[in-house]
Amino acid sequence: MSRLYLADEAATRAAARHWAERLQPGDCLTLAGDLGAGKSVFARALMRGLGVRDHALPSPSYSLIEVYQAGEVCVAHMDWYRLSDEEEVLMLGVMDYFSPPWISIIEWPERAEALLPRQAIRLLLQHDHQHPQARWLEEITS
Amino acid sequence: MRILAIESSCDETGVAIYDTQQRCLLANELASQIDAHACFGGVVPELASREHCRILPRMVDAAMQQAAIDWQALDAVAVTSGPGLMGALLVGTSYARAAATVHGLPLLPVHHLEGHILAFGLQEDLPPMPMIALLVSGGHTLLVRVDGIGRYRLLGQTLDDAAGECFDKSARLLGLPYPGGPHLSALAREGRSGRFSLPRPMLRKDNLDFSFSGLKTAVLHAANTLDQDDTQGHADLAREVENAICDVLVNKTLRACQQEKIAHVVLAGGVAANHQLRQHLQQQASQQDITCYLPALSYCTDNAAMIAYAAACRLQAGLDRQSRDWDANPRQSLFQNQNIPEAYGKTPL
Repeated sequence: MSRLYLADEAATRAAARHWAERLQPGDCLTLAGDLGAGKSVFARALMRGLGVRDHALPSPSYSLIEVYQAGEVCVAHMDWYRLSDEEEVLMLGVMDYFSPPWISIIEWPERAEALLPRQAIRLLLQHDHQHPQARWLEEITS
Repeated sequence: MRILAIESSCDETGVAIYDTQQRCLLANELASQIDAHACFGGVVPELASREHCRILPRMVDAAMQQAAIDWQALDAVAVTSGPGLMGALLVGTSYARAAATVHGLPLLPVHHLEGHILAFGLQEDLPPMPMIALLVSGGHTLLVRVDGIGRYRLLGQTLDDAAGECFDKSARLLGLPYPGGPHLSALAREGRSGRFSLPRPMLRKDNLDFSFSGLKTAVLHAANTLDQDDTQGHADLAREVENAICDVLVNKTLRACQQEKIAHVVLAGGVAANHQLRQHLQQQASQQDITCYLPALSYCTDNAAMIAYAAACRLQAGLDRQSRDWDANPRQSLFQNQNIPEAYGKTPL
């Protein structure tokens, strides 16, 4: 299991753009990590990397899901923080976003791990205890 | 004309009856679910729908009793059609649709944000139009030019987090309970200025957009420098958070007035209940000969009275299209030209 050191926010964004190049329609990428660990920064840079051109990329914290069109690809950006269990996540109709033309990006996937596609890319962002600006990015493989 | 309105877009269930001739509310019932959601640290959507479902019929009965009328005395039913949480919206729209059909009444869908923008009219005459509306809540941060009922133009919006979300998440970082905004404001009153200096995002940008996600990160770093038992430090930081958010909101709102050459500003949405924001906006606006219109606190947070009133305004403006061709829409826009993927319609959300 390798961890990537991200010195600052710009490094987080660069890592996200790198992941954007590898994503295909049907892919699901999840972002775990504490409040302020950089999940939203990563998600927004990822969406820009995927070609989302919308002026505003509003937080899905309240709306639970924000959707975008980027050429042939559709992007669903979700935040499951306020959902309590699998049943509630299912009510959102999330399964539909796990196949083409959708690419799904999910913050707080811990709420309903069992619903995620088996091949989901699971990323974890963590603070660095020495440097407040720095983060660690890790791909979780089960 | 008497309009019964239902609001259930998030965690407040509201039922109100507005009389257009008397220009007053005959009933205004509101039930908050804050206690039900507090242990989860935020609104739990499915729990919210169930709770709306459980109490809505009782609240309609209570509103009828308060107004001392029955269904025969009503002329229309209004309901929030969006935006909001799908499950929560569906409870209100389904109930309203059924009630309107059974009692043979016209059904008027109302945009939740239009309700907020016009809420000031519940207490006094609406401000002269055109006016600028600053709409701030947990899910929205918008500057809108209002040229008339149903005539809204987006001037600026948040590019990421909403102002209310920034309040709530900062509160979480300070270890405060849900709902974070009011708790943070209460703590801020004990705080002193000067110890912390947070950024004022987007102030130097020459547009009317907002961005609060970077501020949240700055709060995190500042909070990490605090000892657990430094209560004064926590209060000082809370005060700086509130000041930073309010500074940006007030500054951009007044800039919108200058840009559009409009001297009337209405405040709307849940964050409009924030004392600091009201005071700052009022003070700074008056220095520039701009008049501020501040709705009573109970009309800032979600309620059904504003939905009834907005429906009445729309009827009066001839905007009531009694079309059956609408549905609850969690992403309903107050404006046109939204970039929503075609595939989106194929999902239940």
